[in-house]
Amino acid sequence: MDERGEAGVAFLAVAVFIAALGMALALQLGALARYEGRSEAAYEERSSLEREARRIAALMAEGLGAEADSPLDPLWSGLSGEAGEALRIRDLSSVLNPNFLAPDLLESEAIAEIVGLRASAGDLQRYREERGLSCRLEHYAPFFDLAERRPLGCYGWANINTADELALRLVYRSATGSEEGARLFREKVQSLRRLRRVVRREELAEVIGSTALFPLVCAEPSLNVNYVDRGLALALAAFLARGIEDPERRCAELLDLRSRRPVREEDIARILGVDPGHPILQFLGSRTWFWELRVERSGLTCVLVLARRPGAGPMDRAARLDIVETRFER
Amino acid sequence: MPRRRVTARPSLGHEGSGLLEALVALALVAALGSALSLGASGGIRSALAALTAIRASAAALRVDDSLRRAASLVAMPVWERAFSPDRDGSSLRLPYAAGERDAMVDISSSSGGMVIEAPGFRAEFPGVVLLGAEPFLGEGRAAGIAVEYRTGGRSYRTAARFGGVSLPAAEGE
Repeated sequence: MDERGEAGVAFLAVAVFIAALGMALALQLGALARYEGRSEAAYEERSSLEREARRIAALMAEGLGAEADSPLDPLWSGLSGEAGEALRIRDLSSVLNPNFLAPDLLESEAIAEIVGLRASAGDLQRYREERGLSCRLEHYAPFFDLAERRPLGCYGWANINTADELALRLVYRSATGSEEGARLFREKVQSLRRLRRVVRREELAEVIGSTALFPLVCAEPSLNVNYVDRGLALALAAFLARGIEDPERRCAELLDLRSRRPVREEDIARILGVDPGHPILQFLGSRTWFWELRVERSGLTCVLVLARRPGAGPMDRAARLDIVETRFER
Repeated sequence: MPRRRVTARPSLGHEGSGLLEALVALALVAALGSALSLGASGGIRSALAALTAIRASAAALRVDDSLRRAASLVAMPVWERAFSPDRDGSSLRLPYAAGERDAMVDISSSSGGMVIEAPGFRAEFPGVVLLGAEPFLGEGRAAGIAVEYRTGGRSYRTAARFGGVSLPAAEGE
């Protein structure tokens, strides 16, 4: 082969190499552009859905009823997605919370059966001490039969009168980081329990001392009678019946009322025939403290968990809903 | 009379012309070759640099996706205000993966690159250098993580929110 022939081969080889490199470059660039495009489209889809969910959450905060939260609240029919998104709003806190469940409540066979308890209350206490509290119900799977739907959930404020004293200590420690403060707080709770003293919401600030603890620990009833499971409410009434005549009939009357109109706090005391210091009023109230808002568009769902702070002021002021969880499901 | 010796040598004119042609051809090939190799090597360098940059961008996008996924797994209970992650150099360990206090989301360096790990999820990024990771605050409480990393000679920063956060302190607290 002469020099020109060799040069031609070399030229062709270089040209083929450059062409292959160019093709690889084009292919990679195309793949990157597609990946980046998909990422950006997914990000934009999520952002726009979350904006819509936040808009609806703001409308909820403005429109929640003055005296009670109820499925009959006209607010619900007025809420809709701007682009036809499907909405689902659910009460999360009108259930028993395994984080705070006190052993004495689980002495009721009816309640233990309703929540599907399959271990001892003492074991549950020890588990909380060792593994901590959680916002996921699956955390408590070893203790409750969760195969069936149960009136259980991990969202709620800890009621100083009803929550397990050891759980209150854990909440104190998580909220303040102070082990010593948590120990002293538990001692205070123990002495309140010995005295059988029910702390009312207006006495709370004086009792808990630390402002960092409110509303994580409060004196608000955790279960909204407008949403609570009927069987659970009846079992609670039967178990906490001290001083109530025919508690289950009275509670059934209360639960029937909720299908006709929103049940307010004063209805509960009146229909059950109890004074304001009765322990049952630490469980049954008319407020929902945690909501789940699901906004779905084109198969993508934005889920917000909204926490309502118990107001120190009048009940008719606008609710403040804090977003404490944001997640997406497809 | 001596006979003149006749040799079969080509004429001087033909011999000179062939050599010249070959020299010109060689010079042309050399010039063309060096121009071609210069251009080709420049092109190849640029193409390889572009490929490296594309791969780095793709790696950065994957790191970004994985960080967002890992951060969204962190679900703190509302009362968890004393939240503190474990740090080790540029690495970070975050509790409350899937709501479990003792389950961790790990963002760390390995010998070959960067690793993001959570229960049921692990992603490795060879060639990506973790520069630093720290929680960022929103409304006074830990709301997510900010992670800086380098790949392909460029630095990137991802800020990803946690799935669940504690209740912000009320005004005046």
